[in-house]
Amino acid sequence: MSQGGLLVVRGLSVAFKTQKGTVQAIDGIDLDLNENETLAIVGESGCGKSVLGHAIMRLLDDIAVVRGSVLFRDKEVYEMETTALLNLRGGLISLVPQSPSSSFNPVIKIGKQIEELIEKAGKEKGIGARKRAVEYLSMAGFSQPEQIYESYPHRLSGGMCERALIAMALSVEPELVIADEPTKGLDALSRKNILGMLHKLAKDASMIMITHDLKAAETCGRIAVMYSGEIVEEGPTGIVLNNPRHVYTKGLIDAQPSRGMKPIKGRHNLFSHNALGCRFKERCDAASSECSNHPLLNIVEDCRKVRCCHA
Amino acid sequence: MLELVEISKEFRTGFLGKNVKQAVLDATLCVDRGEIVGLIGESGCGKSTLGRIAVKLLMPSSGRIILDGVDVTDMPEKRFREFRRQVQIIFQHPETALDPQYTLLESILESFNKIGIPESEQKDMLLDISEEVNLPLDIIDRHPNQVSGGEIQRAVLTRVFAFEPKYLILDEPTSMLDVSVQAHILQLLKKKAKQDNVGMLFISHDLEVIRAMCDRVAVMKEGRILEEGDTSKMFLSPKSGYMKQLLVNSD
Repeated sequence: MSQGGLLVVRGLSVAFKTQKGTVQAIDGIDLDLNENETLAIVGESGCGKSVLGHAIMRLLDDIAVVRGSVLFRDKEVYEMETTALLNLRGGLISLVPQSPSSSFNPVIKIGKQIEELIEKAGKEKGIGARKRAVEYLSMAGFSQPEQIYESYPHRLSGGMCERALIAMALSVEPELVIADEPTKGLDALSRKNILGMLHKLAKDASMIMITHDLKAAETCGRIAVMYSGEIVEEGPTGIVLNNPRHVYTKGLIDAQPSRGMKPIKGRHNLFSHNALGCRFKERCDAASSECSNHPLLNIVEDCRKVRCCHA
Repeated sequence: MLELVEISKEFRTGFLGKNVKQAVLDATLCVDRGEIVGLIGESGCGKSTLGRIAVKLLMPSSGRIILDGVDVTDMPEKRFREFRRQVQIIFQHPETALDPQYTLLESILESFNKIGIPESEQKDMLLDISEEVNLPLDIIDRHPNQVSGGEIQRAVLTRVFAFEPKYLILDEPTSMLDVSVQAHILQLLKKKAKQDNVGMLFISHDLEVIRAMCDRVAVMKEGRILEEGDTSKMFLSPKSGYMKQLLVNSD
């Protein structure tokens, strides 16, 4: 039976077994993404946002214990055969990975790598694939796309590599783009250009932007704030950032240099999922006895969900 | 005062060094004790090169480096060592800042030994500085790949603060960190500058960070310093078109 949305994630949990115990990277995530919708996932390092992106594409290592369901166009990703899965990755869903400089194969020219993906996705072949690769490099803002096509990755700066990666991811016209930290470490002008270009090229696709940069998140329609493997607040970006209801969201906003650079007290603990009750309570000034019960992600107003008993 | 006077630096690449890239051109900048001076500009404008020249990790093609009135530009390495302790640098990528084969503790103790701190005093010193930089002691037996970027940056600060530097060159120290970890580290640096009278050259492309941190700001483009002045004036009424453009882009 159809559940609507392009992507429906239900109860998705991922655990990694380590020498020091099990790390529950993400825990019971529910997400819905419609066509042409853009969603930002924000949170501190280690909150599980990149694991969530990889889990949606079933890209996690075998040591990851995954539970729950990921439906893409009503098909369960975790029940797909290899052929369907390969068609999904780099065809229907494209990933723009973190660390642009180390994401390309260093011994193959940029253009050849884009061309290979286009051919594998069955979009074009031979000269057609080459033309499409050059066209997308041009759309990604390169004034001399032929030159970039012939370049090896080490000749490009971080910002240029990021643009080439975005061109590659979008050259197959995916239905969903997952962009993992597309603006990390970039200067203001490059960040503005990358975000503008990403939204322009992905105008016919849906997008999940994983970021810790709240300014980048502002360019998305919806936002989900993650802490310790859980979504703690979700809703329309403008409303959430202008009127945050969870103490953690407020903390992230106030930690920005333009908002007084107030650090959130304490530090994120990878094993905080083992604690009873609210996972943020050790760092929360508003914590009370009620916080010893694990809070649910409740709807507090239209399209707005918060996981806090004080919200 | 740390003074960089008319610094130029060119890099030669290609066959017989025929291609010349002018990274820095006639840049003059000074940093006083207790003052935080911001250096901003786009990627590739030469700001990191100038920072490396300030600690003599790179030699300038021309110009002088003057530290508290002493010209250290052509000083032999052996004599310069005592000055090097006074000017320390912190790099952008925390994951590459420490030796991956050493634990955080081994890296920290290496710097203590270099300074010549007796073993009997090392523990107390470690406790003092780790408390100052908020480095959790339960993680110092880990290797850099087992801790977060913020924790590595705190270990780097522990090493650097042990030298009791008079000046710090900060090359994008927080651009790879989360906003909350960034806030912790920036508050820490600001406190250090004012409390211990440390002069800091803060290299960044993030105008919000520069505005929150710096007393003065210099703007760099294509190797030249275009404009310099008080932070508030520079942000409210910039003179150069380039600074205006940077402000528009950061909105």
